[in-house]
Amino acid sequence: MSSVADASPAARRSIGRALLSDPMGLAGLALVTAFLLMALFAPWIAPYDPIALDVRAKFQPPSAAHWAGTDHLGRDLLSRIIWGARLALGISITSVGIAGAIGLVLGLIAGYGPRWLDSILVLIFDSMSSLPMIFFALAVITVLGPGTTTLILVIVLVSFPAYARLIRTQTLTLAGADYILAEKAMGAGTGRIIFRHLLPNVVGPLVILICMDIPVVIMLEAGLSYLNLGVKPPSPSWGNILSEGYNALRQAPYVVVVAGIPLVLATLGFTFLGEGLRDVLDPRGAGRRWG
Amino acid sequence: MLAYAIRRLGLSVLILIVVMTAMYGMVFLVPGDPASLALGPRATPELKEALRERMGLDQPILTQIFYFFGNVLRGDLGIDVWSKRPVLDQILEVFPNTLILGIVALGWALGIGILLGCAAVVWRDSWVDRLLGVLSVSVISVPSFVVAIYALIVFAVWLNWLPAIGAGEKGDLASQIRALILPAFAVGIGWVGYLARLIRASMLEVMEAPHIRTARAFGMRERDIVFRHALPVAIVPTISILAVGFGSILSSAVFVESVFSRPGIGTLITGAVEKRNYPVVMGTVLFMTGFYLLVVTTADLLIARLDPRVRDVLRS
Amino acid sequence: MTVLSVENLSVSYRIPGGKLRAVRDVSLGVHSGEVLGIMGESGCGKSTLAAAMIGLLPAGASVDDGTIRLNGADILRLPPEQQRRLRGQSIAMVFQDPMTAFNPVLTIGRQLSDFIGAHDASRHSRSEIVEMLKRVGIPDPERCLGRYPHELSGGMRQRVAIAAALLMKPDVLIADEPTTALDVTMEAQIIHLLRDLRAGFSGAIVIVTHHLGVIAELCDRVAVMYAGEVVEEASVDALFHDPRHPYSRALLSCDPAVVQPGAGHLPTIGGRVPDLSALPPGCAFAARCTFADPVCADPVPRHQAAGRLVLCHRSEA
Repeated sequence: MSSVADASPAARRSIGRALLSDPMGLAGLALVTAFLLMALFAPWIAPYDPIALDVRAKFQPPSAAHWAGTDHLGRDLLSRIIWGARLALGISITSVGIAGAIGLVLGLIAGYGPRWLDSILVLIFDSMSSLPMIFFALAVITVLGPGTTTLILVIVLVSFPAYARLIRTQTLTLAGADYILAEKAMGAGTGRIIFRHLLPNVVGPLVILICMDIPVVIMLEAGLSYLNLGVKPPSPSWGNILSEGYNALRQAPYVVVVAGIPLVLATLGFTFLGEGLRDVLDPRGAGRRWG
Repeated sequence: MLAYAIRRLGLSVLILIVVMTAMYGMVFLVPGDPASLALGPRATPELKEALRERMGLDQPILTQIFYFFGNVLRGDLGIDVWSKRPVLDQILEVFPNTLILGIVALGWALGIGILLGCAAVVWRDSWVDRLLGVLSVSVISVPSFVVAIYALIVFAVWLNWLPAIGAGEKGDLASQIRALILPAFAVGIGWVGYLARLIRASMLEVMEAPHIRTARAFGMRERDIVFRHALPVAIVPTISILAVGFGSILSSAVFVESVFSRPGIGTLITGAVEKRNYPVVMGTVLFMTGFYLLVVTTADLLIARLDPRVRDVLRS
Repeated sequence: MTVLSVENLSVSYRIPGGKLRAVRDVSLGVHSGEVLGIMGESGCGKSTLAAAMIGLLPAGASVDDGTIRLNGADILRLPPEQQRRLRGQSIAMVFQDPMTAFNPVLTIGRQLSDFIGAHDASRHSRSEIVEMLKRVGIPDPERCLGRYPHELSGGMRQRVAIAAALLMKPDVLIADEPTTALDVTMEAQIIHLLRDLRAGFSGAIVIVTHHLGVIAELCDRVAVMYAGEVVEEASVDALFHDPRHPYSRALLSCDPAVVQPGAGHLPTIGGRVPDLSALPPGCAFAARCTFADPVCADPVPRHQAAGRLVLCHRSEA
C-alpha cells in the first residue's frame, strides 16, 4: 500500500505538481490561503475594531469609508467579516484537530487492542453516529449553555466517531498484513508497531477526511451562531452577522449579502481543496467517507 | 433473512438504549440539575424544590433512569416544563411537517441527481460532464440555510411569488405546497450535486464491469445498457448512503425551518434549547434518533431484499 | 466461403512513453462450418485480436492498419451504430470468465431476453430460450431462467453464455479462452459440449486459447501467435504432426502430455517474451530460438504453401 509518508521526494514533488495542475484544487488552495491569511493577520488588516459601536453610523450601505457598510450598531462590517474568518477558521481547525487526535487514538486502540474493547468502542461510535449531528449538538448546548467552549466541545463530540471508525478500519486491515505479523514474529513491541508501521499509513486518509470536514464544521458553527446558540454576540461570527442581517432585512438588505459571501467562499475553497487533495493522494481509497 | 432482520433491529434497540442513557445521564455531569436548568438562575429554592419533586429528581439516580425507560416504553417522553404538555404530543404535532419537508427535498434531489449523474456518464468526459462536476462540488458546499436565506430574499421578499413564513393553512393543500417549495429547494440543493456525483461514480465503476461488456457484445443499445443493466447495480449502494444522508437532511431541516419560521421539529427543538427546556430537547432527540435508526435499518433490510447476493450470504 | 477475414491488421495500445504493438500485420480467415483456433501464450495478442473482431477494443487501443471483413464487407470502418448492429447478430462472443460475465442483480432469464431482444425487440420467445438451455445441457432450464447468476456454478454459467451466443444465430462465434477459468472436469464438459453443438451450427467458430488440448479436440485449423504475429498457420493434424516454426515446435514439445515419464523435469522455452513497445526489427522469437542465425535480424519472410503459413527465415511452409 502506498502512503504519502513513504513517498520519495520525487514522488512528493509530483504530488505537489499534480495538485497545482488541477484547476479546482488550485482554486481551492488560493481561497484557503486567502482566508488563512485573513484569519492570521486580522488584527492588522481590519480597518476598524469589529466590536466598536458607533450608533450614529448605523445602517450605512457600502461606501468608501466602510467597504461593506455598517450594521445596526454602527459596527464596520468588513472588519467584522475579517475577524469572523479568524473565528471560523480558529474554531473549526481547533475542533477538528482535537477530534482527529481523539479519533486517531481511539481508532488505533479499537483496531489493534483487545477485541472486547473494540466491541464496546464500536458500539459507542455507532451510537454517536446514529444521531443526526445537530440533535446531539443541541442537547449538549442545552445542558451546558451556548458559548465558544461548548461549541468546540460539541463539534469534537460530533466529529470524532467518524474519524475513529476510519482509523479503526484502516488499522484492522493493516494489522493483518503479513509484514506486521513478520515484525511481531521478530519480537517487535506494540509501541514500535504502532508508531513505526500503523501510524504513518493510517494518517493519510484521515488527513483527507479532516480537510473535507472543515467546511462542514464551518457551516455548523455558522448555523448554530445564526440560531444564537453558538458563539455569543458581540463576537463577529459570520453566523451572527447573518442573523442580525436577516433581522434587519428591510433596513439594510446588503448585510445578508455581505455576510453570506465569505461563508460561501470559505466552504467552497475548503471543499475544492479537499477534492483536489483526494484526487491526488487517494483516488480510489479509504479516505472517501462516502465510498 | 429473518435472522438478519432481528439482529439489525436488536442492534438498533441497543444503540437507542445507549443513547437514552447518555442523554439522561448527561444532565448529571453538569453542576445543577434539570430543575435548575429549566428554571434558570433566578429561581428560588422553593420553586426548584417543587419542580424537582415533580420531575422525580429527589429519587436515587438508578430509580430515575428506571422510571425513565419505563415511561419511554409506554410512549411517555416526559412533560414540558413550561407548557405542561406531554412532550410526545408536541413532537407528533410538528413532526409531519418536517417529515414531508425531508421526503420532498430528498425526492427531488434524487430525481434530478440520478438524471444528471446518468447524463454525465452517457456524455462522459465531454464539457457537460466537466461542468456538472464543478457545479456539483460547488453546490454541495453552500450551507443550506444560506441558500434558504437568499432564496427567501429573492423569491419571497423581492418577487413576492412564494410565502416567506409558515407551512401553509391547515386543510389548504395549495398553500401548504406553496410553503413547501422554497424550504424543500434549500434543503435539497446540497444533495443534488452530491447524488449526481455519487451516481456518476457508481455508474462509471459499474460500466467498467465485465457484465456490461457482455451486454455490449450482444449489441445492446448504450441507453438500454445504462438504464436497464448498469443503474440497477449502481443504485444498491446508493440506498445505504441515502439512508445515512437522511440524517443530514433532517439537520438541514432544522436550520431551514428557522429561516422560514416553519413549524417543525427544528423550530420545536431550537425554541426549547433557547429556553433550556431540557425535557423537550431530550424527548425530541430520542424521538429523532429512534426514527433515524428506523430509517437506516429499513434501508439495510431493503438492500438485503434487492441485492440477491447479499440475501444469499445472509441466508447461509 | 470465407465468412470472417482479417487482413493485415495492426492494433496498438497507447502507453505512457509510447505504443505497445499488440497485434502486428495479422492476416487470417475462417470459413462457414470451420473451427479456427488461435493459439499462443499470455500477451501474444490473441485476446486483443478477438476484441478487435467484435469491435470491443478497450480504451487506449486503436487499429493502426489493416481491416476486418465480414462476408466481404469492411466492418472496421463502419459507423458505430452499424457496428453495434453486427454485434450479437452477426458476430457473437463467449467470454473467458463466467463468474463475472453476467449482471449480478438481474435474473438469467431477464438477461437472456434482453440480449436476444437487443436488435429485435419482438424476439424474446421464452420457449426458444428454454430449448437452447436444454441443448447446452442445463438441467431444469425453466427454473434456471428465474435464477440469479451467483446461484449457478462456473460451468453452468459458461453453458448459459454459450447458449446466449448461439441463440443469436450469428455468422461467427468467437470463444475467448472459454475454458481457462474452469477446473479440469468442467473444462472437459465444455469442450465436449462445443464439439456436440458444432454439428448443428452453420457458422464459423473461432476459439482463442493457450491450451493445446482444446485445439486438438475442437479445431480444424490453428493459427499460432507470438508477440503479436501469426508465426504459423496450418490444419491441426499438420501442426501437431509436423510443426514447422521453431516456436510451434518448442510449444508442442513442452506439452506435459508428450513428456516422457522419467524425464525429470518439464521442458520450458528459455528467455522471455519481448517488450511489445520496443520490438527488434527482425524475428521476435530470435532471442529464444535454438535455430537462430544472424539472418534472423532481418525482416522475416512469410512462406505460404498448400494451406500452410510459416513466418521464419530458417523454415519453409
